[in-house]
Amino acid sequence: MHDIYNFVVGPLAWFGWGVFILGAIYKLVYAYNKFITKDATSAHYMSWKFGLRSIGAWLIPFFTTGWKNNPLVTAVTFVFHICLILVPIFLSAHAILWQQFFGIEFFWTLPDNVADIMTLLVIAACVFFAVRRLAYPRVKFITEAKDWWVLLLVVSPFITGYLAYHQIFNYQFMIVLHVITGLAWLALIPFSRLSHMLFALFTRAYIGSEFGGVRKVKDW
Amino acid sequence: MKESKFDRKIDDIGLKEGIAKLTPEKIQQTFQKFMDSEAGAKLRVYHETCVRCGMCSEACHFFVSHDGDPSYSPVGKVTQTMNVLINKKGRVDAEFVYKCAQIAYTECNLCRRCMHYCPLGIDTGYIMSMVRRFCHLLGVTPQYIQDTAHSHSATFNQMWVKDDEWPDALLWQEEEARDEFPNLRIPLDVVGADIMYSVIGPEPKFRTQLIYQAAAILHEAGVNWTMPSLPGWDNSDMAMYTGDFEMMGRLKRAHFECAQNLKVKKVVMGECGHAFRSVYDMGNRWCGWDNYPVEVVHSIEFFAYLLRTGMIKMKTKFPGPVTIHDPCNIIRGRGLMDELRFVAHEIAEEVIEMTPNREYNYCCCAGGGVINCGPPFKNVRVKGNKAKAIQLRGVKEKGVSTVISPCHNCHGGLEDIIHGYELGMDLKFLGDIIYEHMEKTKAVE
Amino acid sequence: MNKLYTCIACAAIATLLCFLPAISQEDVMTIGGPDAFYGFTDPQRPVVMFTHTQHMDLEMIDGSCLPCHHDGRDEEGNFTEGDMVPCKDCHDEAAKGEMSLLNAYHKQCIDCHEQAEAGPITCGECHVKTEFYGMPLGNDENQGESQE
Ligand code: HEM
Ligand code: HEM
Ligand code: SF4
Ligand code: SF4
Ligand code: SF4
Repeated sequence: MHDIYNFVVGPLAWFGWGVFILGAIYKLVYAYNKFITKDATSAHYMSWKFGLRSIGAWLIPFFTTGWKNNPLVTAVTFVFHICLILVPIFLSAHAILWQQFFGIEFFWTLPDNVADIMTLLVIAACVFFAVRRLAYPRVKFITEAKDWWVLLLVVSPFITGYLAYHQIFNYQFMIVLHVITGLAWLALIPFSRLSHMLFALFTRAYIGSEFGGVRKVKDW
Repeated sequence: MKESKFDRKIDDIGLKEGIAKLTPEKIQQTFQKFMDSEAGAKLRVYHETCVRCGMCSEACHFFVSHDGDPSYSPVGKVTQTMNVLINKKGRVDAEFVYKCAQIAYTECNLCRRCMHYCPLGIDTGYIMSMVRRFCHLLGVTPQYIQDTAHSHSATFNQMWVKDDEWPDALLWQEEEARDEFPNLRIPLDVVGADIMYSVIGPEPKFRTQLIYQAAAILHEAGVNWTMPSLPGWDNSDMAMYTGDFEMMGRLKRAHFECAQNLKVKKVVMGECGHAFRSVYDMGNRWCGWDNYPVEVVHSIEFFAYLLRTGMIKMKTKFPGPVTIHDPCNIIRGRGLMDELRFVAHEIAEEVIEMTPNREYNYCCCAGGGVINCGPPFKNVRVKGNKAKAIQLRGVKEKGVSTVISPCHNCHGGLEDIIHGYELGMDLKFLGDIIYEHMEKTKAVE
Repeated sequence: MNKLYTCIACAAIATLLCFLPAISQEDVMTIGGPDAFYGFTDPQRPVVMFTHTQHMDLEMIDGSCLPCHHDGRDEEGNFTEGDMVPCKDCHDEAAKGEMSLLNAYHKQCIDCHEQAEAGPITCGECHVKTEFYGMPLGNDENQGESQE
């Protein structure tokens, strides 16, 4: 089992991170090139001021028209995304691995019991999204198979992480599974719907610039 | 990917004959070429980035009016069209292209209300206009709007107005107006005038009264103005809505060349929404201009200016409460909501607002070329905008029976809604009221 | 008189108790927990069981006290032998960085286990949980120790 563990946290981890980072760079560079060549007439209107203004407005829960009109989704999605980003970065178990492999010391980590609750919140949010996809016609209609895969992909490191942390079922198997799902999570970010993580800031910045600069109205 | 069934197909001869000429190879090759040569980062990134959360649904009057039918939501429309095209790399049949065209041309007004709702800033209006572009490339366009686009190509105006009919119409209105204002002229081709006044094709064809009113206001205000007698006078642009961007570019060039030949300082345009969009948003981009080469002033701004400077004074105000329908191309498109309110309050005794209003207004459902798709699709517009009818009924109950809207398309659309839902309300342009109630110092008693 | 005996007996027991860990190292040491002898009075994770003799008997240790009981490094970077004191005497629990007690344990244990290709290397193999909100999990508290 340790051989497998060492493989997944060694070569496979390099591979996963590599795909994530190189893939993200590739995606962003490709999109940037297309943007300034094919969409030059849009790129021209990019503005720091309006772009940042738009990003800022949409980072505030319940501030924009979209958030206000979907209060439940808003609450859930903010909790979901905050936990989703903070937990993997500031989890003490992860920090210890950074220390172990690269000698990188974290200035702060999440207390384990807090991280544990945040993990449950992420899982609960995913259940909420799933129920929504099944039960809410407007979401059901637009749901494709890949939306389900993405949801499964997103939740799986949290489920396996939770089970591993609590040592439910076979721990060693679970931790290996956790690392594999975690790496898949990372590696697929550039190549699935999760790429919204890479593009969200830019799509917002553009539409903010267009609304602020050309249309002279708010985009929220 | 599941294929949702489409049970609201409407017979249109343009679409029918358009798809009759298609083969799967042609569709696929055209799509490939479209993706390679025209579609850029925006379309691709929007396609990848949309997380299918459905938060945009409620933004769309079509969705609201059909009691939450998800096939009318912004993302629902994208899912049924561009999404499938991209996922299948254009390997779709002709019938599918029909569906795409019907959705893109007649079930989306490109009003961009959904932009206030999407957390990721996915521009559904843009995606739908790209679907239209693709349908145009395949020659699958609704008959009526294609006819206006043909007219644009042949005559450089939207309504097949012949070269001699145009100055005729102007002279006729001048003559009519001189009964009221003895010294009134509609100055043709005056080089070096301050202002070129431009209108849309339908004005000389169906609404000549508007030219009369505009002439009266400009005359009363003592503005140094002119109108061009040659093609290029029409500022409207249906080619923009069919997806015929090449023609859109030629139209804009012709229009601005007109203005530049006359060496005017500004173009003032009539109360029209889409024509405005074509100069600040779409036509200019296609031509590679940051903005219009000659400043274009919308009637709203111009009236606000005339009222502020006192060049026009109101003798009376419009009696009784009015409400304002904000045309998206001017308000959500160009932020003129405060100017519009300034003018409305100057000219009417009382303004009762509908909600949502200003840049959050519901579209009239005629815009984006939908009304120009003609009678086959009239019901789509009327049924698709119950939301507006409910809004109007709301203010009607507060005693409003007059709706101000400074956009021709909105008038067309709202008229059908008012009839369709038996609301019994009147529609007014700002110019109607100003002409009616201003001080006419230069008129005969 | 009785009083004196009692005192002596107490002292003897106390002394014995104090030295017990040092002289009879086959006892399982518990790292973490209220007695605080090896640090971490209030640990976030389950306490860790450590059997001293089992480690001393290993071939790679071979009765020596290094690499665990070290005190700085020589020119070649190898540990020099240090006093037989608990790690926490030098590695401060509250400290940050490489010298922290947390890192000392993790580094010393995991590195050695990796080298030896034996012994626990993942979190849960040392920090063994036995119950999940009151439900027994069937994990053996000392399972980390028996791992090869
Ligand atoms: C290189 C990849 C990764 C490695 C090596 C790794 C390693 C670990 C380890 C060792 C634990 C501790 C398990 C325990 O306490 O016994 C853990 C827990 C956890 N990890 Fe990861 N992980 C990785 C990626 C991820 C990713 C990408 C995510 C989330 C997106 C994630 C989320 C979690 C969560 C939620 C827990 C459990 C926290 C709790 O319930 O308290 N991990 N991980
Ligand atoms: C860092 C920048 C990110 C931004 C700005 C962002 C933004 C958003 C927004 C606005 C939504 C739509 C609201 C909703 O339905 O919940 C969304 C949905 C979602 N996000 Fe993110 N996100 C980010 C990162 C991530 C990451 C890193 C992941 C996971 C890897 C992720 C996973 C998801 C999922 C799965 C959904 C869809 C939930 C559903 O099925 O409806 N997001 N995101
Ligand atoms: S009609 Fe307006 S709100 Fe509806 S999808 Fe089109 S642009 Fe969006
Ligand atoms: S367009 Fe925006 S709001 Fe609509 S489903 Fe996609 S991400 Fe959500
Ligand atoms: S017709 Fe009027 S309301 Fe409708 S899209 Fe145009 S400007 Fe907007």
